[in-house]
Amino acid sequence: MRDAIRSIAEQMEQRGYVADRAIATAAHLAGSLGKPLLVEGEAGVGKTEIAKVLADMLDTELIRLQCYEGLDVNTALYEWNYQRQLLHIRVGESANATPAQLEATIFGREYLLERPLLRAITREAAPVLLIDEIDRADEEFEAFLLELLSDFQVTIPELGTIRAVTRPHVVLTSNGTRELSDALRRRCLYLWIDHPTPEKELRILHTRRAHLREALAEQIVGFVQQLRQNRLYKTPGVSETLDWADALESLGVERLDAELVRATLGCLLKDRHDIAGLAEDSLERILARASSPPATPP
Amino acid sequence: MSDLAPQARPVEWTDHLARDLRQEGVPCTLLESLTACEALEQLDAGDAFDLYHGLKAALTFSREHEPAFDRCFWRCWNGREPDTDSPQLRRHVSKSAGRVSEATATAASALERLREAEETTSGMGDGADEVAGASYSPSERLARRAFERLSEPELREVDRMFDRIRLRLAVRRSRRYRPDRWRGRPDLRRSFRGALSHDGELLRLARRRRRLERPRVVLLCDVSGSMERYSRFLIRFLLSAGRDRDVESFVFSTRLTRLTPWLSASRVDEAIESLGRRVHDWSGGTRIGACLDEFVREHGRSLLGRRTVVVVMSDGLDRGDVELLEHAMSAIHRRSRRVIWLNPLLASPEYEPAARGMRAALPHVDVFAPGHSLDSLLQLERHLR
Repeated sequence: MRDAIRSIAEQMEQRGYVADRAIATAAHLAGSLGKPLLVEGEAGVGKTEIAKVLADMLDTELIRLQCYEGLDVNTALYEWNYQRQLLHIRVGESANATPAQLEATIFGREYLLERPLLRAITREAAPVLLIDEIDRADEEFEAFLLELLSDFQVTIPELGTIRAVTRPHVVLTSNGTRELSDALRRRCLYLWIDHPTPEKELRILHTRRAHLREALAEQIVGFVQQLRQNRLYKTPGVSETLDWADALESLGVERLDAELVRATLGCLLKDRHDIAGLAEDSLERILARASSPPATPP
Repeated sequence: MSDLAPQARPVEWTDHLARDLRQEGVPCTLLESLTACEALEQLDAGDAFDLYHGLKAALTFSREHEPAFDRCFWRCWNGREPDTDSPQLRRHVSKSAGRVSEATATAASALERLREAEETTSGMGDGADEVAGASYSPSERLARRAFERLSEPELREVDRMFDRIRLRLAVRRSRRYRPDRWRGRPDLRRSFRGALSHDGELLRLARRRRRLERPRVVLLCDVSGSMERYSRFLIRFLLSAGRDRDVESFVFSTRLTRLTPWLSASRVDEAIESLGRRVHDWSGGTRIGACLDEFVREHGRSLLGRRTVVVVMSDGLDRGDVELLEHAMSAIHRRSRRVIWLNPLLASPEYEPAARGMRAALPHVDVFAPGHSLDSLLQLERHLR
């Protein structure tokens, strides 16, 4: 293994993010090739977290753009501060300024409201730009983003073209609620994050919840791993595991039992049908299997 | 492969791998190969796992490419197929292989039935004509007629009407706005911009309205024995509608089958022809619950959403797990814009949705309408807003 990759994995782990080899390699390449990193995976496997940890590691700003349907250029890139412009015109009029003078000032940088994307390309030190849940934005926005990601420059009609001072480190995440275009995928390095293996999940618990007792951590991981084998509408991710561990800890639990699991199941399963579907007997079975030595990773 | 070790000639080796991937159907281009070569410089070419993860990030761009990449990479790395004892790999292989063959069988059998049915009904056109003699225009006459009595030329006409429905299906109000001169909400951004050109005097209030957008339509058609009288025309509708970019069609009886792969042919006839060529058995039973559940699991992620209208065409006579049906319908209902259930039996005045399956599904249906004739399908678009 390259030292660079190992060191990235170590640095990430120091910041509470357990990165397996695939993640560390992808992060290393994204940094050294200067390419955007597209991260896909089930909910709660730690996609967004990658960007946060990277920003922390590089000791730089994290600029986040949360996508949603109807997100447009004015919310993502820039907007003129019209109210301020109007005010300035009024003041200018009473001070007998010429139209040319007025125009020169009101289309200056100080009247421009920077939105996340513009902010990301105008920073002196390259920030980490997190474009979260890109699948929630619509195709039009994706097309616009494509342009930005290839040139790292934007054109504002009144102001001219703004080129990136430094290229931001771009991380895109997707939950797969919509198929992304191949064009966007091709621009990026691709990383799929699966639910963690038992070993990795245990390490995550150790790293993030260091004070958790070893025996309980093992039981928690065993149970969640078994639970994921079941047919569920919403499979619990790592963040659910951590929530559950917190809940159990605050209850002062030493060992899992069926009653306790049932009472705290809401931390893991977020679908009424999933909870109802986990009948008493299968819960006991999962618990029994979880307590036996950890199964071999799939 | 020993003459082409990655340590010695990394670029050639990567190129070889990329070509291998293309043969396996991964659409990586020169662009990806170039990225891979750049990546090589950052990786330890002697370390299999470095190369594996790094080149996977560079050369593939979807999770679907993973099994092919696994095969190609290890083949290129040590000149032989990967260790198929690896459980993960075995799962991939058996899963995909099984799914394809089953899907082919179901779809093919559905189409074979469709063709048989067409042959037997093609002679019935003359008698049926008399019944509807008082109608005004051919299309109107066709529209009122129940599906089971249509002749071959009439079917052509039906196809053309389907094409028109298809176009009409495709609008809804989007979350995005477009400028409008008179109507809609005030658009302050544009109003202020306009004011700037009049020395800041706000003379006219600009307005904006929500734009029209194409909804995504998912059609799920029951082709079990009890639906036979209707399903052959519904499939025609599916094939016609499904050629649209934003329409996804499925048929189900005991298994769910995605029709989209068969719809690339430009004409309905050709699509039916190509489906008909893969004929096997036909199953008369229905497991609506299991099929809809499979739909939610396999396709729900990518197909369901705010844009999606789901149309189920079925008589609701389920022999399977009613609880599962309720579960799946509620998931579909929660995750889509609108759920429409077309039930051909509803055309009969005496019909009451008494079947257990239908009763379970009804609470999760927005529109419950008959689906026995072209007319009823034409009304579909009203429900798509």
